[in-house]
Amino acid sequence: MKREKLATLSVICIIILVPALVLSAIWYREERFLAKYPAGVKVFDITGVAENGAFTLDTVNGLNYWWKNFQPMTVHVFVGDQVVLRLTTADVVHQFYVPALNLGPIDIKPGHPLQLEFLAEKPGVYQYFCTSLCGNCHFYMSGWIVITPVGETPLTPPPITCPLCVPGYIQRPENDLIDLGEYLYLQKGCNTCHGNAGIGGVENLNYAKKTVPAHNITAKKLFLEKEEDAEAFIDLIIKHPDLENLPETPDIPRFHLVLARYLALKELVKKGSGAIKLDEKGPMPPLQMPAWEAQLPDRDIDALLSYFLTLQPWEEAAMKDGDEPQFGDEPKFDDEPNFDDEPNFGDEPNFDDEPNFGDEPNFDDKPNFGDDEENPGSEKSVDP
Amino acid sequence: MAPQTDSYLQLMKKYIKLLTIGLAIVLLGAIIPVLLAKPAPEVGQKRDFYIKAGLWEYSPYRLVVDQGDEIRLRLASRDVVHGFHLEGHGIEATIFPGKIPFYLRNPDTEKKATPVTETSFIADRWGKFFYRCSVTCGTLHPFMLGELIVQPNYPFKAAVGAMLGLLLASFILMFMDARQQPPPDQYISPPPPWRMDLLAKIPGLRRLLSFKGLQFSLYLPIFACLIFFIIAGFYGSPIGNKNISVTIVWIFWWFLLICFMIPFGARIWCMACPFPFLGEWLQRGRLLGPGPRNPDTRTPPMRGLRKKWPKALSNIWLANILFLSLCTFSAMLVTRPITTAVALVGLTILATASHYIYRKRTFCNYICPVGGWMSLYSMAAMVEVRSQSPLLCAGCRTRACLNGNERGWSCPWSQNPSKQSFNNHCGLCMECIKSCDNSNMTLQARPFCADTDIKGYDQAWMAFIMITLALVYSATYLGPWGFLKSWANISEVRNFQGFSIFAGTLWFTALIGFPAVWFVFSWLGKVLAGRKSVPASKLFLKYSYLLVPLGLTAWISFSLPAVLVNNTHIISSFSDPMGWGWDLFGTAHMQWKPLFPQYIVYIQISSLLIGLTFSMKRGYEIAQKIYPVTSEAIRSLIPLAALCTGISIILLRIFAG
Repeated sequence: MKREKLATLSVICIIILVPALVLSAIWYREERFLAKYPAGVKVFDITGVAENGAFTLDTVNGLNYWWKNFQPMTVHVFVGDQVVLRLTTADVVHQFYVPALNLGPIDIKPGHPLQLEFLAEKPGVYQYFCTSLCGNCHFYMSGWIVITPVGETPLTPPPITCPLCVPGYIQRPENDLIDLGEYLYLQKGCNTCHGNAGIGGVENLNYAKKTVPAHNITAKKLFLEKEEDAEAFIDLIIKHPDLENLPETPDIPRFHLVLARYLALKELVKKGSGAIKLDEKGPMPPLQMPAWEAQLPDRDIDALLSYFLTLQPWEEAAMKDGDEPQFGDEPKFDDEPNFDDEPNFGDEPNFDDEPNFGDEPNFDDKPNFGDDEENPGSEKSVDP
Repeated sequence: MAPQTDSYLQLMKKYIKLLTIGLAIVLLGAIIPVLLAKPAPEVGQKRDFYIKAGLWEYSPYRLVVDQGDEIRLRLASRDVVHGFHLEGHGIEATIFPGKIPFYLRNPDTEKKATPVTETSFIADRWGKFFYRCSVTCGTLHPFMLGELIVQPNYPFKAAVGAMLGLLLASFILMFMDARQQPPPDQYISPPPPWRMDLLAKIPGLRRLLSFKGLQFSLYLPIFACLIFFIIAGFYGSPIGNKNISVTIVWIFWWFLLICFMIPFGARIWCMACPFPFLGEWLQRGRLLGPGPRNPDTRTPPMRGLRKKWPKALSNIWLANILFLSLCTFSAMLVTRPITTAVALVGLTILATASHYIYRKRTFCNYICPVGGWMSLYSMAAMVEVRSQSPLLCAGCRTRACLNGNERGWSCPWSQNPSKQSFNNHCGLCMECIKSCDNSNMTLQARPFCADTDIKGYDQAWMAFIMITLALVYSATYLGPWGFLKSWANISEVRNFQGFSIFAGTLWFTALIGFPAVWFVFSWLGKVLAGRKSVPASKLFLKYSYLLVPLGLTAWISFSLPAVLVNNTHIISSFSDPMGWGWDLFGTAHMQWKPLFPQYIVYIQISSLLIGLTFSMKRGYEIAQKIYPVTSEAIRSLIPLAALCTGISIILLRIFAG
């Protein structure tokens, strides 16, 4: 009977002991971890969730991962705080990067959590990015680290959330090439860097040209001077998937030049391009053009480019041309895909020799920026 | 005695002769296609491949080249970060989406990877080599693979040849055996199949098995693991291959169960299975055996409602359906910690509840989805619990195995251990060994596939379900076809149409399609045999045993790669069970590396060959029991034996072709 009691006791012990053991292990590790830092250190547990396109401060576990909508984090600290960011991922590889604070970019691999530490010095609102493509919502996977002077009320920039995750998001249109282009522009997240309807103007920290190139001047870049020409060229793209082998030369002025420019642009979308640093010693610009070769079939790129051609604002274009900063006023940065610089062409455009891949030690892709109006903090992100 | 030994010697000689002929034919079958195969051209070609990795397939998923070709690879990713590990060629790459260069290293020699835009190598060895994803890329990551086939693919050709040779050899041997059978008056009955009394042979085993706390001391740690796995499943990382609940249950435990416990230990798992633990405790009110009791009551008092399980359900149909339902959602079940934890909790609750309501181990006998196929495949197991001398049992008055006594409980499986002649419903709990007053119950070793009598259609259908699942799973999880994986992975991909096709095909094939084909072949067998008195339905039922050795070895060859390829996940999850970045034993950050991946295919081939051999051999024995004339028996077996060979060749095609 004594043994029977002992056995019963051991079963009850097991039922209590196993959870207790797990809890005490968590507690012990936390204590040991904190002992390494001075008192008052701010620790943030950050988990990357691809499904929601968010680095979140919420606890992500087996139980909630499949249904919870994780909110992107805003990290609030005060000047003088010692900050530890403990980064982990709930699914695939993410890359964490805060260019203005010189944190990262660093790969977060599944099952291998890591830490980044920094001392909050300059007050400001700093944007963090995921800089490795991680799924549909990748380009929205970004948010803010807010450093506030002691005594002031912290700013609360609105979090960047992903509109693509909403169920019932628009269907892929197959019939109309331009509609398809518009769809792809949103669906692939191009708008997060190149602006809604290709207006550009999205700031790219330490990028030689400061902002990401716009797309509403694509027609001009292709030397399509008139609206009719642009429309004729779009028609041509729609009718002939293989522009290089046309039966006859169409009636578009300087057609060979236009075609060469077009093909070069297509090549740029396929191969991507690294953003050149403004300050050699500064951080790598967070927004980089990815190579879309593996993700977009040829025809999808055609769709995107013909959509860009429709974005040209023709009426005002005649007057405003000269004011556009993209047209030649900028200092020349040879490494960039310079559609803006005045061409010197023969038939072959010259951007083939651009070192647009492979040269950078950490090639990362670009991340995001929500819509412009969503980012009141963007001006503040650079300087203190 | 002398003539007896003489005739045995003769018999042995006959066996050796038959065996030699059989082996020769199988070998010939393996060699001929190798000799006939067109050798690779002298001068290798240059081959370019641009491989795009996506969730969870490579495109192209199959590269076919000739031996000696120079292969140039460019790699790109369509969505997230993927890996590319080409087994046996020292190539492992990490592919970042949106980047032209990929990071290449030789996993055997290098630690750091270097960015390159392409890599090339010479395909200098023939055979099939898988390329697998080496970077965790989502739920079905462990199954993401493609295949490089370097022609001439000798292992595949030889294996198919050997299979066909085996089919041919089996029937040649059967006919030879039939012809050489002496007339009935001189008939020497063959020696009875061997049995080895393990309790007598292994010193201390009887004491161990009679130890009162044996089952409890196994229960306790396994039950602790169960609780821990449930916690890990709910609160650990959602990444399957980083969570101990998935790595241990679905990779390690499943492998142990199918590759070791079932073939060598029958339902030995049922002895220590944690699901019925609480329920059995509830029923018995005791943990360490019955103990002394009131001499007036014949059986130890049992608690609970002790209802009788309905007669109509006293078969494994319910288990069949439950198992098939669970298996339909396998892609979710085995890759997500939460579904694993829910399944563990659900089975524990179900088992406890049915132990409370019904008598004894009703749950294990009739409901447990795992129990169903275990009962079928334990027929093939190499151990059994039996009474040694039926005479002793006939004279037994106490019938302790049925009634229980102070040493052991009455058989929890509601069997009569003294008359047990098949393994299906024996959970090897050892209670009868403990309780037997005559020490007549024993644990015996026996040949592989010794029980050959399929008793009911429920068991036959279990055999059909299991072989269908082996085929479908091999194609889905070991094949390179991404669309199958997407179809199966409904909760994430949400392709309801695809999932309907997948689930519909699975259910239709397992329950209707395959049985229908089986019936047609049985009917053909009946026609070939030419005896009207034996109905096709009898052949259909009895020959379904052919699918037991074949199915078991098919499952072994399916489960083996999972554990060998993912061995590092298991080892690293010991150090970091929750996937929270712990490192308890220093193995958490182990690089993923498959264990001798190039040799897996040879184990699979041998396993299937062994399975098919036993199917043929037992098929012949079953046939002789059905038909009085041996030649009729053999002819009746031909169609189904050919069908079994066909199934093995389809499996081979997935594994090696």
